[in-house]
Amino acid sequence: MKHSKQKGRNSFEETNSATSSDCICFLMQQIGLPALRILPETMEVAAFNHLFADLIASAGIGEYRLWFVDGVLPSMNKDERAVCVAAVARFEPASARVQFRLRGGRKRNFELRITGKIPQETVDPLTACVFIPSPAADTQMRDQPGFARGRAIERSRIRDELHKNVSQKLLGAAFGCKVLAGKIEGLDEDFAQQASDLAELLNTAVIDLQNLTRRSEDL
Amino acid sequence: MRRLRVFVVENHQDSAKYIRLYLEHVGHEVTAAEDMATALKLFPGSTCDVLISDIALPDGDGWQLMERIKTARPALTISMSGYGGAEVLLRSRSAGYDHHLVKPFTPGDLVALLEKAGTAMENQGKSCEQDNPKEQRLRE
Repeated sequence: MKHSKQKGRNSFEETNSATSSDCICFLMQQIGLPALRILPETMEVAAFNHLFADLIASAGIGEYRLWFVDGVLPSMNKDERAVCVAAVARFEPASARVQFRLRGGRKRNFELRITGKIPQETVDPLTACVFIPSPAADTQMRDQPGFARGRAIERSRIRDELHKNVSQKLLGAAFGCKVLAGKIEGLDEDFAQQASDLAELLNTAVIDLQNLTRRSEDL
Repeated sequence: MRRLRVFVVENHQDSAKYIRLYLEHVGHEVTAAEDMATALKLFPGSTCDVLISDIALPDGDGWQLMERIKTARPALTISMSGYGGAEVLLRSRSAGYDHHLVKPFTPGDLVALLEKAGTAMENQGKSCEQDNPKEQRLRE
C-alpha cells in the first residue's frame, strides 16, 4: 500500500488543525465518537478527531497516516478486514468489529462504521470512519469475574469510607454548627441567621448522606 | 426539656466533642469516654439516665460494653454506628440497646430520642428499632 503526502497535511500539528476544520470528525467529536477520514485509494489518514487519537495512542504508531492501516485494520478479524478493505476501495459503506487495547491494558470493543462516497465532496474524496462503542461487548466485560470482583472491592471501599470517615466528620460538623448557631443567637441577628442557615444546610447534607449510606447497605 | 444525665462513649474526637457540646447546650449533663476501658471506669459513678455508645470502639465494641454494664444499664440506651443494616440492628437489639442511630444523624434525631427518655424510664417494654429520620425530622 503506497503512502502519498498531501499538501498541507504532512505533520501531526497540521493534521490536528485540519482535524478541527474537518466537519465530520468535528461533529463526531462533539457527540463523543472517535472518527477519522481516510483516502480510499491508500487508506492513509487525512483527518481525525482527538477521541480517535486517544484511542489509537496505545498502539504506539508514530506516523499518523498509518493509523488506519497499522492501527485499525489489525484490530479486526481476518474476514471482516478483507470485506472492509474491499468496500473502502469501492467507496461503499461497510462495518466491522474492532477491539482496541487502551492505556493500562484494558480492551474496548467498537463497531466501526465506514461511509460510502459522500456526494457533496468534490475535492479529496475521503471516507469517514466512525467508531461506535459496542454495548454488547461492554456488557460482556462487565460480566467477567475479574470485573465483578473489582467492582465489589471498589463498592466496599466507598461504603467503608462513607460509613467510617465522611459520616463521622459530617456528624461532628452538624452538631458543632448547631451549637454555634445557638450560642450566637442572642448576639447578632445576621450572624445568627447565617449560622442557622448553615446548620440547616448541614442537616440536609446529613439526611442526604443517610439516604446514600442506606442505599449502599443494599449494594 | 427535662435535664438528663447522658453518658457518651465515642472515640471519634470531633463527633464526641460536638455531641457533648450540643447536649450541654440544650441543657443536659454529659459524661464522655473515648473507649470501653474508660467507659467501664467512669460508668458506675455516673448514675446516668441515658447511655449513647458508638459500636466501633478502639478496645472493643458497644455490644460488649452493654454486656459488661447490663446490670447497671440506664433507662435509655442508644447505640450508634455508621452501619444500619439488619445484622447490626439485630445485634444491637440482642445486646440490649433500646435504639440504634445510624451515623450521620442530625441533632434533631438525637433530641427526639432524648425527649422519649422520660417516657422510656417509666416504660418497661423496650424495643430496638432503626429510627425513622423522616419521623424525627417532623418533630424537629
